[in-house]
Amino acid sequence: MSACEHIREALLDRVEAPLSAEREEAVAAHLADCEACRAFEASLAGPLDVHEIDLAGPASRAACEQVASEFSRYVEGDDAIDAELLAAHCETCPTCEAMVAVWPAIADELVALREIDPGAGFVEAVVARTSGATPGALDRARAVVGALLARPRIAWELAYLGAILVWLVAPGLDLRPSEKTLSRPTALYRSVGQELEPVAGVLQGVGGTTRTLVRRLTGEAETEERSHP
Amino acid sequence: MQDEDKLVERCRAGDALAWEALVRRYQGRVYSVCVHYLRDREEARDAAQDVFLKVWRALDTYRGETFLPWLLRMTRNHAIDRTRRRKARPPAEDVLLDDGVELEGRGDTPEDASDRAGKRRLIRRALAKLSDVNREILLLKDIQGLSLDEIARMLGLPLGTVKSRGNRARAELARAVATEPGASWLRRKKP
Repeated sequence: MSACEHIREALLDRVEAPLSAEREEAVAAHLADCEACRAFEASLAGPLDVHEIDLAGPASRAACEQVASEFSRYVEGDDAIDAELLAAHCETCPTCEAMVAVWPAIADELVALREIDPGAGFVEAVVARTSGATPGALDRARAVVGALLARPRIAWELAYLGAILVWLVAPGLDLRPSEKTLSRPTALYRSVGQELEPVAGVLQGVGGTTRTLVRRLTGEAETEERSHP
Repeated sequence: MQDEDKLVERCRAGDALAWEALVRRYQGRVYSVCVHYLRDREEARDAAQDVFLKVWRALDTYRGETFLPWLLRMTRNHAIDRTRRRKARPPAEDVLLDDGVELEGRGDTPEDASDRAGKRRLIRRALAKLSDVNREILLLKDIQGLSLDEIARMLGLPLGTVKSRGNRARAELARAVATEPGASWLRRKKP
């Protein structure tokens, strides 16, 4: 960081809180010799302070919102918007006027951030990592496997696939639990099931009888309908 | 654009010189995007190298789209992957957007360079106040200069959403800069 940058950083800090005596002294010494930094200091004490200026009442707030919603088109000079009305609003609204006024400088600076130098030796390091062979099938396979392994649920997916494979490869394998491993509730459930088997038979019989009865009744109804159209 | 395609074609054929030229041409862009997401110069440098390694491996699959958006999408995805992996660990140094050396503007006088640094610092402070979503839109649209269509495809969002978010992000940044101490300096420097 250059001397000017240090001083400007200090000047910005001074807006928020007083500087230490040493820093204040360094700033004063630098300002005595540097016109650019004096101009910067003067700009800090300038009339624009949108923290304090809030003239936008409830009626103009809607207009401010409209400026914000059409901001891009306005600063790009889009003909489709009513630039005249927006400009008229900006003349009376310091906040909107400031937004529009600072945008060109912001846009320039944003473009300047498009490329940042990664430093010396970057290209050489990349070339060294990729030298030796042209990208081949092995590299592609490695890229695919790498991407698969980076998936967040890879453990579950592998377990699921493994289970399906075991099931497919060994269909004759008896995977049912043995009697020894059956827990007590399961054994109880089975014994209750055995007890209920006769009851189920009776219920099935009743069900069959009911179905026959219903069929007979509906059959009779259909016959009656046919005989009395 | 055609030039890029030729360069990529030569890289695909194993032309070492073309590959070196491609890396040299896009190193600044890739590194800038990595710095933006990772906020750590060293890690961003590693990530940028990894991105080029991925690009080199994936050159065969690159077809039918413009190279730059393809490259930046790959960079963004890689940077986000890295951010997720190190989520528990804060960055070694928190740089929102590097105020170090950019490739453009190397011919500045010391005074100009100092002015630029001051402006950049103001804008950086304002950028830090924005939400991640707005910062990302600004990165892709105003910093990297991608079209709205390209951004919509990259983020998987409808074009209208990208447009409105881009506008909101710009307005918020302008408002944040306008409320920074020293903003009037930006106005006076305006030609």
